[in-house]
Amino acid sequence: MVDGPFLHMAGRHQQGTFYAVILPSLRKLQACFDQALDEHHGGGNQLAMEPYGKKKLGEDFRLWKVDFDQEDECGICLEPCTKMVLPNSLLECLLPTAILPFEIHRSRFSPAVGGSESGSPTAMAGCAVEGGCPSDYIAIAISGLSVVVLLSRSILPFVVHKVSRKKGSGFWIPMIQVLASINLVISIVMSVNYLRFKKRHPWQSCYIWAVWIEGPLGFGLLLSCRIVQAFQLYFIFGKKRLPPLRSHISLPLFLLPWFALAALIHMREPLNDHCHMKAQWVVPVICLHAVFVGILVAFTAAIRHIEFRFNELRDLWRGILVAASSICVWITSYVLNRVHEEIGWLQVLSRFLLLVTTGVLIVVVVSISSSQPLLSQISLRRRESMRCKTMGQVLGIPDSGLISHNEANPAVNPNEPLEKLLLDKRFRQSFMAFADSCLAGESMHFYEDIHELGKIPPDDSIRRIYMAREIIDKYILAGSVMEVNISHRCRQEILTTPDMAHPLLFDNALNELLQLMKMNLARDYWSSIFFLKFKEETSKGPAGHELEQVSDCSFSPRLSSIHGFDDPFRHEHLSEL
Amino acid sequence: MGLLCSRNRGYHEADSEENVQAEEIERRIEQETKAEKHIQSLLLLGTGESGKSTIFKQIKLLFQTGFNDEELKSYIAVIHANVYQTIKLLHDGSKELALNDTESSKYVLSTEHKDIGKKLSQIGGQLDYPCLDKELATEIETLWKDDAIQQTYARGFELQVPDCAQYFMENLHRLADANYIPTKDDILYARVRSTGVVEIQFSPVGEHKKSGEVYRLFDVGGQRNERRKWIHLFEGVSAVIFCAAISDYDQILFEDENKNRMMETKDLFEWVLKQPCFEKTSFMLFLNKFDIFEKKILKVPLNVCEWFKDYQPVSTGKQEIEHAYEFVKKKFEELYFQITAPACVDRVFKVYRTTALDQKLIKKTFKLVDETLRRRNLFEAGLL
Repeated sequence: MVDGPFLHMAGRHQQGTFYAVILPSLRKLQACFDQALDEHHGGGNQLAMEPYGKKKLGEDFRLWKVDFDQEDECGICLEPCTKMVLPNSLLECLLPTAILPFEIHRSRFSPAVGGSESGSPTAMAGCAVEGGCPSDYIAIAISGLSVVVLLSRSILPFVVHKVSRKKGSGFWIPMIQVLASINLVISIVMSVNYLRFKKRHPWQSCYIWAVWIEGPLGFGLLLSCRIVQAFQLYFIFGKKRLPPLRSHISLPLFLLPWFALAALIHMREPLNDHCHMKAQWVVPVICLHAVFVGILVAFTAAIRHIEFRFNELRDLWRGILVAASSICVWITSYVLNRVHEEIGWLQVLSRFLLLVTTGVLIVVVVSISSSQPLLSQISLRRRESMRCKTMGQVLGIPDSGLISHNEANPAVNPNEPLEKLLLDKRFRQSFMAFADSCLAGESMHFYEDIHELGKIPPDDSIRRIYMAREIIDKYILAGSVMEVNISHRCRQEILTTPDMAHPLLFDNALNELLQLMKMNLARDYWSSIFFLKFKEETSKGPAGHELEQVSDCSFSPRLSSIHGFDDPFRHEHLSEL
Repeated sequence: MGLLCSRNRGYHEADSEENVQAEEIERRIEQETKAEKHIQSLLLLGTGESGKSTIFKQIKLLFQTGFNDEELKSYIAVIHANVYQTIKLLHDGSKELALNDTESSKYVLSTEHKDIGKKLSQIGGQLDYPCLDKELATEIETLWKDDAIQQTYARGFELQVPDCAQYFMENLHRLADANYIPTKDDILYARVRSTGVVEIQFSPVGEHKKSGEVYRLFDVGGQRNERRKWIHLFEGVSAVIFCAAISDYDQILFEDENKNRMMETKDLFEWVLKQPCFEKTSFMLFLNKFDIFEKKILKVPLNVCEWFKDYQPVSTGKQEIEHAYEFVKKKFEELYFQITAPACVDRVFKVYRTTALDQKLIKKTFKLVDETLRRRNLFEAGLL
């Protein structure tokens, strides 16, 4: 729906005048001329008279001829034209152009006048109108480059670093943003004349590209996704609870005005053949663009006081700045082009600027830091940050995921309750390895993460919220990768909590899982190889030699082998080492 | 020269030793792979609380060495935990019903029991349960016998009351004994939610001691989050034993209180049947918990479950039970034949009526399963 800097409403007006006024009067002229000829020759075949008329009409028509010879210009486009000699040929000139649009007529006849003017302005005038200027190709190359940069930033973490895909909106919203950006760029390339097409195909229809794909599926979709992300951040960090509307409901809701406007434009059909629309349609379109940027500003302003850790706020402000400036660029170029219609280089320049600002827009606006904060930490340039860190490590929780070897090694007494034993880090690691081996590891990983959450001081609510959100995404949401075995009530309590930074948020779930581990896993652990290994390691002591013989007890593997290759626990466990 | 020769010989000797070792290892690997091929794997699948682990325990009792003293003692903690959790559930449930239900008065605890109720509820919420002694047992018994609690128990299908509640509450004093050692029945009744995967290997030694059939049985968790782990076990399975608790038709899921358990079983059965790796696998459907079904069908009609809404009761008593059971069995069979693609039409499908707590019945059932599998193996080997 962008009415770019390309004018030629004037062309339409001129064509209207031509049909209404000029053509009828020329026809009358022709009729008079024929009549005069007939009278002169006493009637007869007009066609047969023509060549005869030329010669015979002599002085009476010399004035006509002289006039035409001298003027030597087409009555319509008022340009010198060698093709025109006689009034009849005037009609010939007219008839073909009556069908073709105004500009194509110009371009057909103006090259013949090439001698009087320099070649490039007309060539430029040609490509300014039809597309295919060198600057156009440069602009397309720049926007193509920005699409490639965008794709690499979004997809490479999954492909190169083999990060597992998050389920739910954390994955889809960034992907939809990427798609919307690509749609925006392609729609602008197709609807504005960058490329010269020989034939017009039905899929090149203006309405598809300039109306539907640019609006609801391009700029509108892009901004709506960002608004949904800002909306989620506002609820999670501002109000400390999960957003009441899931993203698959709020996103279509935000897209409704775009679809409504697109449908309205499609019905009224104010676009001409060059995908330009009248001023009265341009205003609501630009207003909708500006309103959505305004909504994004409103949500961002509501969370501006929060100290985010993954540059979410900075990304939002940058996106808003670039979106607002690109809308300004579009408006300015449109206005300039309305005012100075004939200046060819202005058209070309504004076209170039349009596509370049769109390219910059898509690279800056799309950001994954809101939905997938950990992924945004992976830099493709630096080698050390190739590994995906855990949230605990990123947030700076002390001793996150590390085992210190300097701890004293008390003897492990199986009669002690499990929760006391789990406080010892080395025992925890051994138990976790055992749980992973029989595909029951998610409870232990959950325990570890809750342990880390507990290390964050209760008044540091921002970090607590980041950790809590990560835990909910990984363990609590139905269908998540490491979903834990808790009751419905417990799950609902966590998902509908009014305060995500509450220190006792996950207490009930932890209790349930500890009970599960005590009743189920612990009994099998004592007779497993993992416990034997653990006893060996702890009984070795600092001297390095075994202090006691490991008693010969029969151990039974709970699960002897796993047949699958993509064991989520093994993968997770290794990546955390 | 001599040195060189001797050194060479030394190397040769070392080489030949290594060769012998390598050969030995290869032979062992070959043997083991051959042995592996003869091991038939059985999977116990089903929704949560359908009786898979109970059947697993039964197989252990029947065909393995059973439970030794250590293991029996380790079950004491589980049984006591069951008791505390049950009474806490009932107490909290009665409070909730007293608040929300229309007939709230019948769920209100009598005043003298309120303190006991609070204390037991608090114990039940702890992580570490105290050992069950006589005093606590008497208190729990008094609370259990309270009218409000009995009324709540009648509404047990809305709460997640385990099936073993009645059995343990009736045997409280025996369980609280200082020298209590759990009986086989106690262990079979004990309820523990399974997580992850457990396996045992056994040989169903029957009259033909030389049969040498070795089975490897896998038990899994049934809740939704556990099912993503099943996929690791699907390759090369000889038979799937699908446990469906037919007494579940009026209960809701532990992990999702908006879904009926029988509907979840139906959906899960469909999903399992459609798995591509099970095209040639035999399916044994165990319609489990028949003892509870018998008692329930006379009080709660089958139509409360959507899947059985076209059921018409015909009579009463034993005839009704049989009729209802046949109806349920027919529904499962219809579902099976509806889902089964033409390519898998010749896979074995058998339905058995079971009560996992009944050892004799399980022994008989397993013998039938064993026979079916052996016949299938011979058929495939071309000898039948």
